Amino acid sequence: MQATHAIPHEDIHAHEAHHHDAGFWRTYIFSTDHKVVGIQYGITALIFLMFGFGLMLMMRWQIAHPGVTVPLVGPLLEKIMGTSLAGNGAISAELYNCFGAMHGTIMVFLAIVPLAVGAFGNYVVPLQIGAPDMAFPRLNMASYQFYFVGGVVMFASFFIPGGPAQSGWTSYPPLSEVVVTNGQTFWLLGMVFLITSSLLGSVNIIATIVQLRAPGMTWMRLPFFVWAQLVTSFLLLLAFPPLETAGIMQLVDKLTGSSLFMPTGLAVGGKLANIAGGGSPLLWQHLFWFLAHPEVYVLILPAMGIVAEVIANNTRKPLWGYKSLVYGAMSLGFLSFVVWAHHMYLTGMGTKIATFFQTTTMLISIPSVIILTCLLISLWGGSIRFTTPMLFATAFLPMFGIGGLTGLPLGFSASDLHLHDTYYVIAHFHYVVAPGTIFALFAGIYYWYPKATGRMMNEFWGRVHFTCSFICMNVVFMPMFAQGIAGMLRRMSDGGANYSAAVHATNGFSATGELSNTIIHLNTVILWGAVGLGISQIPFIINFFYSIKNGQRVKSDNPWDSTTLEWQTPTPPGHGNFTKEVVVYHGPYEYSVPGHPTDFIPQNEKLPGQH
Amino acid sequence: MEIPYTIENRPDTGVYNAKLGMWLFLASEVMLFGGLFSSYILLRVGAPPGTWPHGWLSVPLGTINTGLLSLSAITTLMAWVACKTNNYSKFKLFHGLTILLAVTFLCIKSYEYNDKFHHYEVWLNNGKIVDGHLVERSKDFSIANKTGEIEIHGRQVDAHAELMEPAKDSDLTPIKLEAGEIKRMENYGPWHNNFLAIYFVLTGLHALHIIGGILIISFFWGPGSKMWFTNHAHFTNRIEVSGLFWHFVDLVWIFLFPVLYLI
Amino acid sequence: MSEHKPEEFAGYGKMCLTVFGVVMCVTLMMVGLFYAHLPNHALSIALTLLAAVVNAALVACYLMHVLTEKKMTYITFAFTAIFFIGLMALSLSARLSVPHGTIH
Repeated sequence: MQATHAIPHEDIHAHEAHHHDAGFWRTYIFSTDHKVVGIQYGITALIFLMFGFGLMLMMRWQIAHPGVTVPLVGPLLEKIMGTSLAGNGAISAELYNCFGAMHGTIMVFLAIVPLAVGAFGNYVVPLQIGAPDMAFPRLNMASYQFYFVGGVVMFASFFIPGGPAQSGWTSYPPLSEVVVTNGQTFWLLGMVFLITSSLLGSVNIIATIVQLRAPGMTWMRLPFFVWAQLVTSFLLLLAFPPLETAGIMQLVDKLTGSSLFMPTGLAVGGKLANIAGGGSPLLWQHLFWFLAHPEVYVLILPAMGIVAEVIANNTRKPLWGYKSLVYGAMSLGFLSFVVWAHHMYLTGMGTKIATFFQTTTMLISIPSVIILTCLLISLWGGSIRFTTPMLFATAFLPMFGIGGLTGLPLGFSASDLHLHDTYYVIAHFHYVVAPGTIFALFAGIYYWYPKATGRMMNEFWGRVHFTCSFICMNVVFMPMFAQGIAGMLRRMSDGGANYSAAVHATNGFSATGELSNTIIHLNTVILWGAVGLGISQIPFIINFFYSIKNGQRVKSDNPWDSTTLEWQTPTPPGHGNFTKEVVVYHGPYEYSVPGHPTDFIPQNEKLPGQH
Repeated sequence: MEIPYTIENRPDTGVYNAKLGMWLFLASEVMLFGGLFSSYILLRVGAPPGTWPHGWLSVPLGTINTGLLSLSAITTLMAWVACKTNNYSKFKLFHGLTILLAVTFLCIKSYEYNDKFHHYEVWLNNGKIVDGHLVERSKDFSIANKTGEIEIHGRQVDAHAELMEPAKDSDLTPIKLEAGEIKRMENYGPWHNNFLAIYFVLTGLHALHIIGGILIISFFWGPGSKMWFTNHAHFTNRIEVSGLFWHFVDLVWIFLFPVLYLI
Repeated sequence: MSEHKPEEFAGYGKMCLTVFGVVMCVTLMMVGLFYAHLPNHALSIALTLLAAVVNAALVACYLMHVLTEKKMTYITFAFTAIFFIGLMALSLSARLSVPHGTIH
């Protein structure tokens, strides 16, 4: 029996309204339905993504044209941030630091993770395991609300005197505690809310996957996307609390004047600080990176999950190496807890411990490569349909490959001596997250949009979005490898002018290791790329909203002819998701089974000859 | 469709949803307090010799608190047993006792906190240090204006390092000081010393968990107890799950007490 | 609902009081150790922490039903213990491994 006809959107609503008569607030704002919560997460995260992108554009302008008034938004900037931070509509060094710290914080904690885990996890996981909702629906609603409040606090910090946090997203003390303005305090408070949201969400996802799988959905029949979300949630559950600890300790330091992270003998502005001393800045670094390293696997695992689903569906064949993928994801999760100090090679650790972390860092590249290889081999012999989701998913593979491989020189403590805190690092991690994770998230949006709305996004503009984004991403980030290897450091508000050959020449000297004109000129190239990247998103934004009412209607509940359970619901799924009892008979990727009339067999349909 | 396994156990995992959820949450709490304990260890191991104090906390009070919390863990369990054996009055009794014990614990803790905020280290102009409780302070006391006087019940020492070991009771005497003799004074808040800072963070976070626990238990004792009659099985599960949380809070104190008070 | 039947709870009161008694005894032993002021500081710390672990084990096993619960809690518990110990051990090891001739 094939997929049922799509039930028109309006009928579902009438049905629901008749059942619940819940009203606007209960249905759209204070809903406990995982799909509504997922969409709330998604929209909020996309808004923050755009905001973080805007911050980056202003930063790149400052880097390419230091001290020049920012076009278009300069006057507005001066009005909001004040003359000391944004005098003449140009970005001061302090404001640059603010933007840098907040760009990182917003992108990681307010955009990518809520989108990958909060939006996709909440929306798709219950559907893919055959469950009526998440295990704890009210907790789900609460976790979104905590995220929202955390986001408001972070956003509000831009408008307080002195601006937001300005000590990097890493907030290293003593600098973060010594800056007199309150931006850092807001950051810490915001983080407490965000971490709470994360914890509640991860408890929910794990309990859901463990307890609410439909009959017949054994562990090895789970779609890889669900496995990825399970491992991700374990990482969030166990890795975030030490950062909450550290955040509380830094908050106590800031609010009460204690010295948990402030060392004895600290001098501020040339004078001895009036503190008890005895604290350890290294302690913060250990606690911070204990979270922040697993955090990067939180950023990548859901993306790998999405890519796996899209590839299997668009090659019309099972994923190659399902078991390897699953065990790879699990070992990736486990190993991610023991590599954190590779961010701290330059803190004066002893060689024994540095070697330990170097070894574990090299080891963790193995499951990464296994997963990528399985996804790559899955393409071989496939009947590939280059739909928009598939374009993004296949592009993910080489982009993540570049990002991952360029991490290796950073993992070796010897080469890291040269590359630490340079633009090489920025290029490396942006390659994995930007043309890596974000491309996968785009793939996911284009892929699951028809299930959530009953309409397809426009294919032509999807291809335009993809092509332009792909080109611009590489224009932005590829030159940064060259800049980093040449020695250009991170977080320089003048774009490296202080170390450049040109500035030195005007001052009448030269120095070894100064940045050549070519390297500095790349800043301008990157700016064009970033602007181009921004413009490339316009077709996507228009497509996203336009297609809700005007997109091509789907002809069935399963327009991509997929095997996984989320396509066995009405479109969009109503409360409770499935209209009849779900029983799972086989694995998630039964495509092109020989002898079968169609090239896919949904999981809740028996295989030929199965009893 | 109803969400399955909210009341009955899922056969292959052997638990109902809320119990798994609570164990997962407790796992994250172990990491939270674990992070704090490891910070304590790192700070203490890294402290130069002669800068980490001993014996600044009242062991008798800490022992009483340990007893109170352990007893409350028992009464929580007995409340759950009362649910299982369908004895409403016993449930109310034991649950109420738990709340009482927890509130007493908090009272003792606040007394201890208050005690610290009234304990001062006073640096004198002649280089000596007076350390003890502020018993009396004249209305016009001001170090800047050099007016007024204070009375400290404590001891006088020559060097800050001597304060790291506790005073014997016999050493404590009333000491009167004029404002003019004093260079500066500071009470034993988190700003004074890293031991105090980590003490306040650890016990403060623990106290927040106790308050949270009291709120939840009070809710189930009061307005939430209606569910006893409407859905007894679900109610019993909630008592079990909140009891698990309470036992964890007790577990944390079982480590806090020796680590902060005794070693 | 767990598999317990009402009759099984008859012994609970006695079990609770016993556990409470043992926990208090161990606590008082810890306090006694403190007042004894043993000359060997490290031994004193080790014994105190050992006593704390015993107390914790009693609470976990008897009061939190770890002894009677199924695989799921064992697995969650074991995972957490591993991570917890790992965090402590690695951080301490990093803190203590200082290159020769430098100060931290």
